[in-house]
Amino acid sequence: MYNSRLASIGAYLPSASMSTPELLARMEKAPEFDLFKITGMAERRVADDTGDRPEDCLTMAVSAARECLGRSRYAADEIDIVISCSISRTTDGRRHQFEPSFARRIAGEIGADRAIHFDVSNACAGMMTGVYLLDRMIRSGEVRSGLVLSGEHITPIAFTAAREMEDSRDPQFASLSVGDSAVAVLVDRATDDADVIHDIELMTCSEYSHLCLGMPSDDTGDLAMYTNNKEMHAEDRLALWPAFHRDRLADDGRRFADEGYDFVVQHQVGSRFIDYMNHVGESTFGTPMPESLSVVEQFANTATTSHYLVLHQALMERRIPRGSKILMVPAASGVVTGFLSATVSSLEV
Amino acid sequence: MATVITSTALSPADETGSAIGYAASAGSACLRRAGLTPADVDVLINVGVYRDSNVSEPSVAALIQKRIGINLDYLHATDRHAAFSFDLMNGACGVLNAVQAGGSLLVAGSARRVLVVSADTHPSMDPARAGTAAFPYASTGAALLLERSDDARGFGRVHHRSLPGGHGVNGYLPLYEAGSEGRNTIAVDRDSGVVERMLDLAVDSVRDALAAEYGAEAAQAPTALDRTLLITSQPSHDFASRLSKRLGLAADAAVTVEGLKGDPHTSALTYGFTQARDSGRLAGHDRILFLAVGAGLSSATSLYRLTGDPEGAVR
Repeated sequence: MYNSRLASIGAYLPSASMSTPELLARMEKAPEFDLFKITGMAERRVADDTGDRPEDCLTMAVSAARECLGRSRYAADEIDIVISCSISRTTDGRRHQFEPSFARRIAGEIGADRAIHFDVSNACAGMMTGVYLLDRMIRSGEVRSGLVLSGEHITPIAFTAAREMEDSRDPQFASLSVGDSAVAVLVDRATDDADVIHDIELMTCSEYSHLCLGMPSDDTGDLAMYTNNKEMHAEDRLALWPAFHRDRLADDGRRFADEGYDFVVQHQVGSRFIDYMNHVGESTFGTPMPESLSVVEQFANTATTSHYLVLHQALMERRIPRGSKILMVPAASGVVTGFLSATVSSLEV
Repeated sequence: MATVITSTALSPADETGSAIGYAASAGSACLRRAGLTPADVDVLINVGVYRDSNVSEPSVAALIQKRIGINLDYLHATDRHAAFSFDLMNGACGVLNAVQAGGSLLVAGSARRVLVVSADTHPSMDPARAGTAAFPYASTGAALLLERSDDARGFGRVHHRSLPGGHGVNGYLPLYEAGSEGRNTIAVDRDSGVVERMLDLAVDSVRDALAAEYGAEAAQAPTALDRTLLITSQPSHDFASRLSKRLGLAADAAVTVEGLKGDPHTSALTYGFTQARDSGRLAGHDRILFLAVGAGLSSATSLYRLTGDPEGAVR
């Protein structure tokens, strides 16, 4: 059995940013809440898909893929597999694509013509699911290298919310918290312990699958998301991660405190959510959490890309010393939880 | 050791038009036939493409998982058996991508059983709008259960091929044009002559797969497909028989799915396999060549080894 590693990473961020007051100014009904105080989000990037060189899920994913490949030792036609993981999947002038797969179109654009390709859709755990599958396909010897990527033009759900929402108790409230981006990671066979994915384990607790639904709006149109925040973030939901993580480690006779995690990346739902998740982890595992990395203030919740965007930005800011062990914790509609831990040394931005 | 199909089921015909319902009923029946319960599933993969109300989040798989009753709430379950689910989308080829990815989960020890479900529907969930010129896909679903065999039975490698040029088939929700009708709207554009291009790709894909399995010389032999049943995607009702003809085989060397209004799309291979098994057509065959051709254009092909007693290979 082989191990896999995060071999290179690339990202694309639209140049246009929108501040939280600018977003709230688009609301039809004046907000009675302080979005910055609730989420810690000061701004988010917003793709423009109307220009001559449109920014959409496809173009952003292709840009991230090219940057990622440029930092790797692979040419596009040497990649064994391309897995696209976005929720929004819009291109060609706001067409939400079902087939061919987005992965096929991306592979075609970058010249990965002999690559296996398919899309994964798993809400905000999409890229985590893509890396999980690629890790297992590398472990089994099925493939040697692959790209997991997502172009996420998700801010249209924020604008649908701004047109339609009543107040902070509205099911579209959480839709105000998203931002646009694309991230690509290249995963290949590990050659040493300096760069290796140690664990990636995921679980779906389907009792709560109806608590956050993305679908077209039947009111003013375009994509929308409806979330029961109270139930979604109930104590029992948030306790799923540490229970699952603790049990999986215990299966191997391991303990969280002994794992030596240097950083933790929670899903970028908002600053309060991140603090709360770290608090839940601390009390369940009975040990302090490692340093928590976040981009929530600057880039908001970028859905499928969020953990990898945090990693990309932290690498860019030289915040991650060589040999660091990073823990990522997904939290997605489904509900999906789990954990990824990886040591990174050669990963550079 | 290989990945083997240990159970399959088709969704019963009903008028709900719900892909979630079709996949869940097929998945539940598939488990019952295998003598298993929902707690026996480790990973659920949904390969359906066209879904109820064009839902994009959560995965349709999570909604199907709930209907089947797999890992509802880990915290409050007595046995704490975790399970995971996700959507894997690649048009008609998705089911073979799931076989390949699911096979790796089995080999890596991440799962003992992978349940692959598929279902498509017009997003309006109006069955009258399915299987039409505007939306050629049948409103139906299917399920197959994958496990590791302890002998040579099962899937060989999955081979892939893609053609440059037009996508052939383009399925999308035009958000601007749909306005407030986005939950009921879908467009499926098919290039003229796409079935001809799919046949060309299918022929090349069969030859590639045979060459990879048997070597270039043996693959050329007219006997290369002896005792091999072809189970294919069904982009047109005569696709299977036309492919047989193009390969120089008898018209019934490939399975034509019967009894549906429209293309079974992501469920086509499971339909073909189940109908062939239930009608006794696996008898006299040692192998199945699974072949899917779909939008992209892309193809996926895999040779499946049956035992001498096919009924023993599939419960």
